Amino acid sequence: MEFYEAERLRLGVGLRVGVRIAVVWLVYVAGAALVPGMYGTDVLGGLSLGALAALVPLGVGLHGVLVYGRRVDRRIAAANEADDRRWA
Amino acid sequence: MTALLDSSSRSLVFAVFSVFVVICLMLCVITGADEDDRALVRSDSRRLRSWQQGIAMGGDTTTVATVTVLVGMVATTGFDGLGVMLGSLVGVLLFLVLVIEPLRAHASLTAPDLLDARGSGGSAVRVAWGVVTLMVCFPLLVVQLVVVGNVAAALLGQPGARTGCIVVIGCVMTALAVSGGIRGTGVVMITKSAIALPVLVVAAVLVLHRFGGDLGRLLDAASLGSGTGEAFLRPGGYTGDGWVGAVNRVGQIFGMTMATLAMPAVLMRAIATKSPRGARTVGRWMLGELVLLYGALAVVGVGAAALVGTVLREAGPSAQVFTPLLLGRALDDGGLLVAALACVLFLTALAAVVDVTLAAGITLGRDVLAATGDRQAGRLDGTASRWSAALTGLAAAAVAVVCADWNLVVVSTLWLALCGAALAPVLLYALYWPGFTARGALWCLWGATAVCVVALVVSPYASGTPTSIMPGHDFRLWDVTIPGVVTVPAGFLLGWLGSVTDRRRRTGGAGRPSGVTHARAVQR
Repeated sequence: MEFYEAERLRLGVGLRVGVRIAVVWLVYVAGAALVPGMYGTDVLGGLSLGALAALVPLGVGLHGVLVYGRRVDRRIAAANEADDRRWA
Repeated sequence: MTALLDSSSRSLVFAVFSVFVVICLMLCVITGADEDDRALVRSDSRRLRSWQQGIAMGGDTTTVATVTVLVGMVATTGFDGLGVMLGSLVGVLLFLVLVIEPLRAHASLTAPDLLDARGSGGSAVRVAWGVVTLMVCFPLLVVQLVVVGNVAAALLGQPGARTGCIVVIGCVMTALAVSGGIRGTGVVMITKSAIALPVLVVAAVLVLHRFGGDLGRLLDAASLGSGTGEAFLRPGGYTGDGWVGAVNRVGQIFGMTMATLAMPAVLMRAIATKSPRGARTVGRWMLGELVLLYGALAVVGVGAAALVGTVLREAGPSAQVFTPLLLGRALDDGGLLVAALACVLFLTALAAVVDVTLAAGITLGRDVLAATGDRQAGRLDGTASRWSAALTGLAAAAVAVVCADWNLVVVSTLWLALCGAALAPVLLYALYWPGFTARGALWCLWGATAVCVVALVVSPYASGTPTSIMPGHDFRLWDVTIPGVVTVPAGFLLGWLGSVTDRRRRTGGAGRPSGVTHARAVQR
């Protein structure tokens, strides 16, 4: 497969996953900025809501990193397969 | 702080540090750059393995300020300090999915190669990128040298020895950067991580053990010790309340994320990886190391609030850099943990400044000095970068000696703001917007730099308060001290505006790589 095509696939997947992580992160940061009192609410054995909610962007980010690698490999493999079939 | 270490612990710290320096110099000479190759910039033959590069990159993200000031910030302000750590981690996650692979695919030696390949480069952009990178690296070097100089003088028990400590450490780091190149400094970084990570994890485990493994008890004690009560895990301890606090908070947490996307030393290591696919593996190792490290640092910070919060409060903000050492003394009366933590501080400072010196040297040699002349690949890249690294390291040590008594918070804020507002938007635009042009890159780099400087000049850092640079004057326009909420959008806006108003904008888009660079990228 052409270098540019692989690059296009890689950037497409990266952008989608990256935007998802960034949006979740921005929502979390906006909450910390606008409703600090709510983030300070004690919810679980001394842990505040803000500290617990931090697990959401972290989880989305870690999932995104794993998904990114799998999707890029799968799409490049599929594109290569189609290329091989075309020339067979 | 003169009683931080007893005489035997002090001897142990300096013995370990001296042995580490000697071992690092040997490793740099053995594994370092040959004179006739360009391994100072990038090693093609004897490359580090993926996991080694990943550990080295994780070390690049962790400066001595992370281990001292940030831990102190967690101990005294709670949530805001943890927010900075979280922001840095999310920045690494975004770096892995957005930047690392395409950067490695297009850049051959430095990040402006990517701009050339994506159609938004040129010598003017290369020089602009180089100058802004130096404006990021140089303050970072100075701040780290001052912090480690202060810690070393306090450990020696002789405040007058600070200048000598800064000069010695500055000279050692310059020697390591010049002799080691990208491979040698990578080995130094791995050695540092092999010592720092276990020590910090042990400190975190000891903190948890002290509270019987009960996180609730630890947090209650931290709330009590920090003197903030229930506000310990509420935003605002450092950034303040009201709209100024909100703006500071967004600027601090989001700005940290953006800055992590474009840290020069991390970009340098990402470019030096084996392949785009290899860069992904490297990134995962880096992420694993940082999750473990930040987890340990968070527990150490909260533990410090619980165990030595009162001491920290009474000693004031200047004592924050000693937080890990004070905690070590509270956890272990024998002094072994304090000695180990002191070693970690020294090694972190040494390794981090070595890599930043190398990144600054490579940028100065290849992007700033060579961009205007007839640039030749190979030996000249290595030679110019070697001399530039030596110059940068020695100049940073000299400036650190002069500025040792200044309030350096403003300098730290400046380099973080520049990284997030000028370098990161250019990288992201160049990768993901086919319409991005060289003019847009120039507007973004110079414009965002100007916005960052102006935002700090009109803030309380410059005037209007007793701790300002000019306390006798008052020309501040706002009370915001962390201007990321303005500078980052301004950087993106300027990049977009410069591109859409460019008459020479290519109709076919800048996304397709140009012929020469594309061919080179495929060959690799």
